Amino acid sequence: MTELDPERLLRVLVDHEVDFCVVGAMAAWLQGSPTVTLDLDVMPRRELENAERLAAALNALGANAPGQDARELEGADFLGWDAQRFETEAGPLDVVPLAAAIGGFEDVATVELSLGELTVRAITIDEVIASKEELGRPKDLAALPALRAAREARRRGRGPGG
Amino acid sequence: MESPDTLVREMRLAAGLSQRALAERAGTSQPAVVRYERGAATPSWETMQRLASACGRKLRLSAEEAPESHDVELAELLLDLTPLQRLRALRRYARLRALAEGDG
Repeated sequence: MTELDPERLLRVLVDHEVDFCVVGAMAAWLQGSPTVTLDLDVMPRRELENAERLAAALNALGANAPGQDARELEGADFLGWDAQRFETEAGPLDVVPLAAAIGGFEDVATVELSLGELTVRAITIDEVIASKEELGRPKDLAALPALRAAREARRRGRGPGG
Repeated sequence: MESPDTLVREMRLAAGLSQRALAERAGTSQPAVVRYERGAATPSWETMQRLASACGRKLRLSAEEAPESHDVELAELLLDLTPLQRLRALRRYARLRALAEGDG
């Protein structure tokens, strides 16, 4: 598995003008949840031109799906609802068009996060919690105390924002 | 509400009462109210009810699920970082993990 470089992954997506939001554990981590992750999950807007920009971004990252022959990705690869995992030069990246309990890009509640020169959107911690509660797998349930702790800490108003 | 002293003070101020007026209404003394608000003394539940009633409030005792304090402390540490610092901390973690596994 290639070492995760989340800043590079996000930069390439932003540079390719992909409409997306960060979901899953990375979204929570960026908002202060004390759970680490070693991949990036993104939820793209599901529309052909955006799918083509996403494909171009992933091609620029040398993405390929584990267990499949390497090939150039196309916009049509990202018009379905199935989640897809890719290995890239900057670490694992999952494309998640639909998340349990919270829906797709048009449905989810997001916050804007400033990452230096980059600005990205991520689903709120409440959305991460709702999704993991719905999924209910052991790893999701195990993450809930940390997620709730992050929500509590944010309610207490700590931190420089974001 | 974090503590009885904060609660007494906030109820009193919200009701627009002086410490003396609150003491008179609640059947206690002004020095006692001062001690409660400073946290130098803790009123009994019955006294708290009288103080609340004097302020036009009704106390309700409830319990809610508390998050793991250890996790909250960790989350507060992370909230002291900016999102960019958190992102880069994750990169360092990934690098360290790769080194530990002999991939780096």
